[in-house]
Amino acid sequence: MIRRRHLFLAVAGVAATAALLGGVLAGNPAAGPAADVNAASAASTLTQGFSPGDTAAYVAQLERRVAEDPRDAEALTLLGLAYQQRVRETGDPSFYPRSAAALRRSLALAPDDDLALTGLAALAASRHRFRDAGRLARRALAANPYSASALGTLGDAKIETGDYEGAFATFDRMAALKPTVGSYARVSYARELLGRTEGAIEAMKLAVSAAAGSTEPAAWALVELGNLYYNSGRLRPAERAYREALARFRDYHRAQAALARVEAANGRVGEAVALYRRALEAVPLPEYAAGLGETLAAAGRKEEAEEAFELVDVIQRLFEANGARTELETALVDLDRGRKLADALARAREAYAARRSIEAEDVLAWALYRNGRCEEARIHSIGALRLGTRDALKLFHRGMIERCLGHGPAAREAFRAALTISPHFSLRWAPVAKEAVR
Amino acid sequence: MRYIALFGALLTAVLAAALVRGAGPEKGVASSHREAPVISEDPTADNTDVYAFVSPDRPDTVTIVANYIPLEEPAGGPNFNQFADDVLYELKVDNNGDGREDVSYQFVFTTQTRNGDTFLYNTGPITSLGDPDFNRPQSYKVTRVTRDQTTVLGRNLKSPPVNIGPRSNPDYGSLMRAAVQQLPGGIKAFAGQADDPFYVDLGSVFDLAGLRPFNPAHVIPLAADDGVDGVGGYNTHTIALQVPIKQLTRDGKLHDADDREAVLGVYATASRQKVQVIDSNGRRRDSGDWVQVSRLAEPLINEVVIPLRKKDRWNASDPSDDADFVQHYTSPELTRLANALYPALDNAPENGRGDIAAILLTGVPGLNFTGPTKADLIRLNTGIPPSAPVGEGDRLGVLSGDFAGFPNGRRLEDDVTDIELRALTCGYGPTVGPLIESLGFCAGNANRSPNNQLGDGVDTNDRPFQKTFPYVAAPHQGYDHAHHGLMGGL
Repeated sequence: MIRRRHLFLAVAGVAATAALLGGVLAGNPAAGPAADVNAASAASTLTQGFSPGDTAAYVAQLERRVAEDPRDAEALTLLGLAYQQRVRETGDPSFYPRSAAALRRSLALAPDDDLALTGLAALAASRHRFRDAGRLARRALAANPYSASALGTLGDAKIETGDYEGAFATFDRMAALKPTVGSYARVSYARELLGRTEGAIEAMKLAVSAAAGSTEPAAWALVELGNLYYNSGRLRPAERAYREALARFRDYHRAQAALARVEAANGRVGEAVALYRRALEAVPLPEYAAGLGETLAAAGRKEEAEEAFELVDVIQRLFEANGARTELETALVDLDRGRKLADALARAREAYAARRSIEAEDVLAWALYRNGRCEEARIHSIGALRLGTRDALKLFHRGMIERCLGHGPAAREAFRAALTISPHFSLRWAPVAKEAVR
Repeated sequence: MRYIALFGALLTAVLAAALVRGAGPEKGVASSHREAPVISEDPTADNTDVYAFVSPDRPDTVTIVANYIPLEEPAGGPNFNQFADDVLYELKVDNNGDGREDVSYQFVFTTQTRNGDTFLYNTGPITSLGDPDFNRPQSYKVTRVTRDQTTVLGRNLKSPPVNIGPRSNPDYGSLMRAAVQQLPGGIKAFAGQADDPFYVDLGSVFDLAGLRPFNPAHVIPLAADDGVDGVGGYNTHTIALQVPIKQLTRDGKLHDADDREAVLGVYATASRQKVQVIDSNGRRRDSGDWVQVSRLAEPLINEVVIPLRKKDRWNASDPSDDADFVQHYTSPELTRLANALYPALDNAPENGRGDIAAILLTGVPGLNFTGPTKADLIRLNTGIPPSAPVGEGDRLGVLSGDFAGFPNGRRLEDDVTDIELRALTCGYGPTVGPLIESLGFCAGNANRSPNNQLGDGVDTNDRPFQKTFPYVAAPHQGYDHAHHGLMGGL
């Protein structure tokens, strides 16, 4: 289908242009305004699937189509989506404004086009504007109730704003409508949140299979699969998944950073540092800098660690300057480093007010603890674990909070639970947990 | 001319508006939360073409060929294409005209890894299907399913390797022959890589919808030229099945051509496992449940007829639901495009095209009509005997008076692109034109000129077909492949 879709889509895509050239330039009466309108509407109802191979070439082709016919709403939509895929592949955020511009132009030409709306929803989610993402996804679904990708983004927005029951139902609808890498990965994430690690792994394996024909999506799903293994303490299968991701997509930054974590857990600091640096060179994400800092700190290389942590700050400021909400992420880094604690608590409260997710609630609990407010912290720690997620770090936070309140047995139980899930859950905190249960 | 000027002004206004709206102050940020790809293709579950014909060398049988995975580059290593283990591939036959399958053949694959220490596909020349150097062989199970019976026809049936090169597959032909499986009841099966039998001029079509032989008639004229097969040199994965006709008809008998029970409706699907967040009984995997992700019967329906926003729904639906999509057949977009792009053509009606609906959804009376139920199926009248060995039928099929060809079933050699182009533009030619006119379609002229000569100039596949099952040509070898960015990023 892809082939023929491309083929006839190319036909359709150029048809409006051709008709237009015929009408405007040649003045041919057979291709006058009425024919143009027909051709344009015909073109807009045809589409082509996403290129499984070379996205850069696909982008170039769509850019040509748009240059040939700036009114080609469909090409603009596909271009907007392709730019987002380019961000995934390169980490270059300058594709985001290009995506937004293309999608908005498309919507101006074809209001209520569900795919363009879905693209804008996904873009909002990328910028952590989850309420906007939800609103746009709902508009897309109003235009096309059968849009699997709009359901996916709507579910993502629900997850990030803490509406878990709603999100799971949305994911189930998506998966029943169209099993894709996106639907399997979301079901996997939901099962992970519910503490059903094995089910999450099975669903992510299906995601890997469904992505088999596409480069970055397949590598992405493999990294997610590896993360499920890693987070449940299975370093060897995790490493295999990351290496396979790198075999499918060379120099993939997500796989490099994930593999760095395995190397660090195995005590291979040099390899870990090199991998983090390569990932950071490709895509400066704050979590990569933080991982580098933790690795260096754990190895006793304090000055280099400080440099890495400063890089976290720089990246975060860049993000904020570009309109991304990062209160949650900055708060956690500061809390772990034991600085700007009161301010971090304020940011955690702000984040939790904006998105009542278990992630936000866990950071809030940790911020309260680090500010010595352990009673309040305990309430939110319970909230952060309410889904039964087998998340070692959240359980560790719980243990510290219980210990702060003098609840020795409860604290030890939480530490043991964290270490049972994974003795490698954190370079910084796993040793603290081990010491506590000794 | 007034309209033309107006249109130009309108275009300028739209453009200006688009530019203003597009030039927002937004800046980009990289993302850190987990995001699945918004859109991704699933080629291993992507059904590209279905063929169904009475087997010329075994005329008491029907051969069904379903191809999956489009445009496989022969030099596709190290991750060579293969069938997916968690996809259910099905060939389905409706024998009573209700658009629902009465007999289905299910194919489920299992990939074995003989040597877990290597990512390599093979560790030496593969000289037989059981060769230990063949590191990732696939085998499959075929199950026949009817309303009251499920019968396993074969297990552990071997697929051949992909065609890598003269070192890895020194005698590919013998591997392909060895992979023809004899199943109980006179059934033959084959599942593996093959040359893609489809042919079309992709290169010209990508260039402003050109048809090289018709270059002078295009709104941007060029000198006329021969077509170039853009699918040439690409492979696909074929599932082929040859079944005695009696095992497919409703009453288990052979029928004459004028008997409606002689007509079989054929389609193919691919389905993926259904997963749920909140499943009953705490079961983690509902392996019995499948969600259809792709279906295909008549060529080009999903590509040209079904609009974008309905594609997810269409692919998940069944042929018996096709009445919901009938307006896309009776008002075909491609007819409008052809009228707009080729001013020299005699414009065909853009609406009320019951002829297209008949050909694609109910069958044509007197040829392969199955009744009033509208369903996208390849309709094969098994009472019409084969007219030629495989590959030697008239490429224009019924339009040329060869009633053993498309749209009566679909043979490997049928030039469906040219046939559909002519049908959509009411250029049926002198044989079929009068019939279409007598049915009241094409506004009294179903043999328009030059519409009745339309074509992309590619008239045959790049490789000859085999005369015996599975008929498709052996796959192109990676070693001597000829592609160097022919398709760009596609």
